[in-house]
Amino acid sequence: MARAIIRFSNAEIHVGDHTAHISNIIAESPGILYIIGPNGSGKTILLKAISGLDEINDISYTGIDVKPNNARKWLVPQDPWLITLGDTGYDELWLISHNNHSPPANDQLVRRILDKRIGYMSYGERKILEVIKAHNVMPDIACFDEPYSGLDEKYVELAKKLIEDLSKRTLVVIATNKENSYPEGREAHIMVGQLKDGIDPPPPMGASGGIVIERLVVKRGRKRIELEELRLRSGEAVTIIGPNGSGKTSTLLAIAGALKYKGRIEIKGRTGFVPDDTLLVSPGVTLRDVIENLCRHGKECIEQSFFTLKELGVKDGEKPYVALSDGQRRLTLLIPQLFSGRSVLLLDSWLEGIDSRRRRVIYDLINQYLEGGGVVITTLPRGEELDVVEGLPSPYD
Amino acid sequence: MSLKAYLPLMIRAGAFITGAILLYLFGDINPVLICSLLAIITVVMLMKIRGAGSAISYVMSVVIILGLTFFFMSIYGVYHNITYIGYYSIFILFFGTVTDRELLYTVKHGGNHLVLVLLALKIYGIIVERYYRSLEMNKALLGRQKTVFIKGIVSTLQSLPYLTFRIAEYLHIHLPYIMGRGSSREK
Repeated sequence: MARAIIRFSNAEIHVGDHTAHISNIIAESPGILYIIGPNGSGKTILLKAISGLDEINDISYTGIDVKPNNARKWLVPQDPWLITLGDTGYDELWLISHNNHSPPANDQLVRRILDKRIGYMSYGERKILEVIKAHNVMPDIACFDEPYSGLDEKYVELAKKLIEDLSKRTLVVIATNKENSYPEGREAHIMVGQLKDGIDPPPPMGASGGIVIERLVVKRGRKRIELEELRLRSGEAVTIIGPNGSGKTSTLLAIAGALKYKGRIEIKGRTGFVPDDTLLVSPGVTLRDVIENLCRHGKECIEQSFFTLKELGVKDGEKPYVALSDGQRRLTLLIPQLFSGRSVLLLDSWLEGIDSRRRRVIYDLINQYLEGGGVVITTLPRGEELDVVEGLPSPYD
Repeated sequence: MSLKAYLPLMIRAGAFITGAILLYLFGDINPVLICSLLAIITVVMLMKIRGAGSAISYVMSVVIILGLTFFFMSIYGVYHNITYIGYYSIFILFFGTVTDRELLYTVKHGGNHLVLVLLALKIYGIIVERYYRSLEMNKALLGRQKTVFIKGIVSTLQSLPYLTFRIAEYLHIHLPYIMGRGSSREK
């Protein structure tokens, strides 16, 4: 295994219309290098540059040196790959493993994931499969983009264990918007313009909402999800918790009317929905198109959404939606729905992918939305089984 | 390289070649008998390999082709068109029954170009899956309007450049490992 070194020396990377500066640092294998920065700072682009995807993505940078030139690299993206060549986890692993590394198959959790058909896996299960693959190929440089986001506690533990094991033999690079990450490692910060203090967005337009659910049964593929009863009045919020693959997203989709169900769902008012996979919403359009569609062309909603998004650092309305970072896309889908008079907001994966400063602002906005009479149902990958708990999670969950 | 790894693929290739020869030699003499024989073999193989869903789907396709064939026969009085069922059956017999695992075996043991075949099947699968998922999202965001089906198609088509990028990235990272030398690139 080659000894890998990454050196940032007055490094700059071009992200859309601005240039991000990276703090000077040298990291070498074995070990961990964290790349820390807020939403839209260019963490993903930097990670792609390190893992050799700069030519495909036309990334331009200076002051970044990755040695040796022929280092074996691997990338685990924030959202799991859209395509996999193998049918099951084992197929995928077997396909890429020409060396003697074997999967950590003694772990029951790992075995369960590898046995499963990839088509039937949830978002979290596909993410953890990518971490297992990285552990198995044992590259010289392994890059992970927000590896713990969207994972429940047991998968976070498993991912940490595998990444820590990997970091004993290779150079692991992790892009994250969170400080104080574990396992310990060196830190490179991406410096971009900070959010101004005292962001003061206009109050959301919460219409009086309500929801009654009785004996809900949702079938999706082989999965059968049951929810006995849920009653929410104006201004109330609940969190649907459960491990990855337990059916949280399917429940929200059924409530939103996108999936067939048995039982009774009564909703007072119009529903809004923020998906966990933000790229399923027309990736070919501009930021302005997305906002106008979600606001149903209401002038006041469009103006307030643009103002708030600008305050949060999402500025260019003509930018393609797909060119935004994951956190920025979530903000773009969420903000207009808070200003468009929807009375029930279904927010999948809570504030996943949004950095801590912006989370605080969004948390306050959602609370104002509730005070205005709105109803919020959100999901969080926690606990052992599907359950409903009162109130919203902490902004930092 | 183990011959055993190729065995299931060879059995199907054998069935395909035998079917093609039967169709060539006797298709004009007794098209109904030959085509029925091929259709039965294909149904059995699909049932064993891909499951009941694929077998039913194949039978339905055969019924549609049969209906069209009889329709045109009644108009034009052309009777050998029934052999289309035979052509369709041997096509499905070969391509419809190959499993991912068998293709992977072939890829692993030197047939790297076959990864393209697998990729084509997967891309088709991704586009269909993405259409259904974007349909769900559009229903959730816009309600159950009739336009969601059109929006789903537009959304899927719009996402094709993005899909191409993601697939290119996946292959750039994975192919060197599939081919056994790890992801390295001289700069």
